[in-house]
Parts: sequence; structure tokens; C-alpha cells
Amino acid sequence: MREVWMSGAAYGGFRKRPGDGAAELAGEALRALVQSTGVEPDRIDAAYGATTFGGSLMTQRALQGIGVSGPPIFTVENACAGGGSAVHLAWVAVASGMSECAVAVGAENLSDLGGGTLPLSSRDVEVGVGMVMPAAYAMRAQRYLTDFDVPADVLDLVTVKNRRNGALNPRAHFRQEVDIEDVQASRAVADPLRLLHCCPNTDGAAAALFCSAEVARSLVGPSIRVAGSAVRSGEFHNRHRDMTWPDITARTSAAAYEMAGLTPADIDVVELHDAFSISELLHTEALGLAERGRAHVRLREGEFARDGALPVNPSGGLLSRGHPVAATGIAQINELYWQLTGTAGDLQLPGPSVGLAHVTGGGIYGVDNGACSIHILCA
Amino acid sequence: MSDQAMTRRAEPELFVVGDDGGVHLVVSRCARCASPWFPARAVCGSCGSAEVTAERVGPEGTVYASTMVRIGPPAFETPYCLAYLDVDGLRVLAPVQAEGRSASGSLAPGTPVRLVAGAVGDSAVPTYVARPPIDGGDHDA
Repeated sequence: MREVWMSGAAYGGFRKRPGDGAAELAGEALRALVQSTGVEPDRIDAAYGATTFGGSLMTQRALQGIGVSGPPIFTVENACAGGGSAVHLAWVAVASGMSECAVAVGAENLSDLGGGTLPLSSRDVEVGVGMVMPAAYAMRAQRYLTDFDVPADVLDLVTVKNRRNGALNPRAHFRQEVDIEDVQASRAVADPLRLLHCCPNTDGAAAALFCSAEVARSLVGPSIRVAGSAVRSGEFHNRHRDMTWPDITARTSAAAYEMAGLTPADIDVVELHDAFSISELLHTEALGLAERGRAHVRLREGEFARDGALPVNPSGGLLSRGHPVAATGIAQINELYWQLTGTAGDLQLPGPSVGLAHVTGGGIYGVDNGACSIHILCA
Repeated sequence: MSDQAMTRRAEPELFVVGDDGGVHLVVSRCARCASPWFPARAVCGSCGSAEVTAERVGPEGTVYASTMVRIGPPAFETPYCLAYLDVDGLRVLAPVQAEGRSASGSLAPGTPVRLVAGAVGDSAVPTYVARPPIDGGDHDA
């Protein structure tokens, strides 16, 4: 395996864009990627796209928007972890030497599905009795608050922090700060979760470029090194499961830390999967970034704020940026690219050098999540 | 294999109702690794063994976690209560209902429940539901 460099990041949408299909949004992100990196499209020798609702051959349709057809092109589906999975496959392609210059792109149009909770597989036994994603996280929240004797306002504090961060992010779907009273006054979704504890359904796309050192040197933009790239699937069983411990996150991060030769103490900035406010606490602990049952204390003390010891979701996270399902994993990695290359504008943190991006998702019975992807990036 | 057998998909039997009205879930247990499966499976999802035997578990269970769903899928009238239950080593999700109506609040972890037959959503097919204790449990869990 050889070193893989990330040499560009771009996005499209991250707004309500009814009528614009996933491939159209992906094409918009790809055009911005070509423009910002100066890569000649004919150097792109592999493409990995991700979408859950965007239809067959989304990636071919998107790449046509930048005049690329002919090389190997794939569309992968891994629910919320689709974007991270596409990046992982691009990393595999370049690391193995098969590809010199690969793109990863994720895109989704959720407006066209109508409103409300995302549709889950109708053949699932839990969906058949009324399971929706907010309910799954609501039950995890109830257990976390009960098991660790946590005041419920900690869920509000996650939202307040991430919305404050998102107010600085030109890519965020929601750019208005909220306070605890706003969160508590928002509509109940699944007790104890309210609307402002849930990320919005958003339409958008994100694209990133991964290449060999030689190609990276030839491009106009800065590059960062992909130090760790890991994907794992959920372990399927119907036995007892501690739902406050997302073991898929722990297993995937262990693989990523080992590959990078780093530990949680080396991480300077984190973008993680806060699809619901409770998720940020659970995953912060499972990533080894907070002690078990203690993330809520460190959050309350401000350690995960932009100016804290370990900024978590300084982009505003999914709670602000929105969650175009398969685009999210790449959007997070892009936010880290801008942080680590010193090009994050109003969002810029003081000189972070190691970032970790985490997505996990998928509502199927018998696993805590269907798939998880983690990337560790170094300036 | 006959044409009919090739084209018809057998729906697994999910549960049986005992003489006392309690629901017993039909579970398969792996002879090799002892994993329980609900709905029953012909092949163990943990180790791949096809040596699975049918068992029945329930009707008594304990709430692991619970929520009141207030925004749900179109086929479901909100609000409705759901709970993950531990039933003889099995973790299963069930609607929480009493007297044919959803419980009015989340049940606290540890609440004992009993599985009985009921209906959910817009389906006329009977399914299993969890009946809370008479006092309805903790409404502010």
C-alpha cells in the first residue's frame, strides 16, 4: 500500500433543492472540484459515488457533467455511511496502485421523497411495528440518560453548540443559532427527542479528490495525507445489546487508529455523525475521545466547543449542515480538508494537524448500525 | 421442487397465543453457537449453521428502553409507544399497548411487561404487543 493524498474538496446544494436530482447535485459538486483543483478531467481514472435514494448509475450520470466516461465508475449504497464508504474505496484504489487519481462523490435529494422521517425498508420486522430512526435514537437517549444519571438538558446543549458552530458555516443548511429554550420549545418527535435534536433532511452533494503523491504535487491546491481509512459493518444478532455503546464505532475506530499509528489523544478536530444530538455523546465515547459515560460532563464544561480542548463538529455537524444521507460522509471529510489546509475561512481553528471523520448509519433490525466509516487525515 | 413452491414465499410464523392469552414468540436457536433468532431463521445469522431448532420464548419480558413516537410513518397513527424488550435472552422491539390503545408515555427501563396479541398501523394482521403493568409505568422516563 502506498500513501494516498486528498487534494481537493467541493460541495453542491446543502439546501432544500426540490426537483434537482442526486446526479445533478453531484455534477455541481464535481464541477466545483475540477475548478478548485485544476485537475484535468481525463486524469480521473476511477470514480466512486454513493447514494441511497438517487437511483441506478447515479455516478455515471454525475461524471458526465465533467466529461468523464469510460474509466471504472461505481455507485455504492451503505445508508448514512455511503459517502465514507465511497472515500474508502477511492483510497483502496489509489493505495493499491490501481488508480492515480480517483474521485469520491456522494449525493442525495431528500425533498423529492416528501417530508417526515426517512423511509426505511418495509421488509424489516422492526419497521413493520413502527420503527423510525428518531425512535431508535430516542431509546438510546433514554438509556444513556438513565444509565449515567444525566440531566436531559445535555441533549439540548449538543444542539446549541453545533448550531452555534453552524452559524459560521456558509455551507450549513441552518445558520441561525438556537438557545436551550428554542430546543425545548420545538416539536416533540420521539421522547425525549425534539425536532431541534434531529438533523434536517437536506439536498446536497459533496465531492473529493484522492491521488498519488505525484499527481498531488501537480495540482494547484494543497493536499493532506489520508492516514487511516476503515469501514466496518454492524454485527448482526438478536441478543442483548448495550445501546449506549455503538460497538461498530469502537471497532471501526480501532482499525483506523491502528492504520494511522495514532491514538485518540492525537486527534485535534473531529467531525462525527450527530444525526441526533444523543449520537454525538455516544460516538464521542465509542471513538475513545471521552471516557465511558463522561462525554456529557466534558460537553457541559465546554471541551467540545470550537475553542475547547477538542472541537467536535466545528462545522456545525449534521444538526446544522443537514444530512443528505450519502453526501454527509464526504462533506465531513471536506470540512476537515479545509481545516487542515488552513482554508476554512470563518470556521478556521488555530492550526489543527490531525482530524477524524466518522459516519455511521442504517436502520435495519439486529445491528446497532448497518455500516460505519472512519477516516483520519493529517496535514 | 414444484412450480408452486418456487413461486410462493412462506411467511414464517411469528408467534403463537397460549391458553392464558400470552404471546409466545417463535424463535430459532442455533445448535452450534446458541444464538437466538426472531423472526426464526433457517440459517444462523452469527455463524452460518443450518442446524437451528425452533423454540418459544415469552410471554413475560422486561423493558430495555422505550419511547413515544410523535412523528411516524403514514400508516401509523401517532403518538404510539415502542419498547425494546428483553425476553428470555432475546432483544425484540414491540409496540406497547393496553386495552387496544397505545400506552400514553414511555416506559422506564426495567418495567415488566407481558406479550399479548394486538394490531398496529393500518394492518389487520394481528401481531405481538407489550402490555404494561396496570399502573402504566413511568410516564416521564
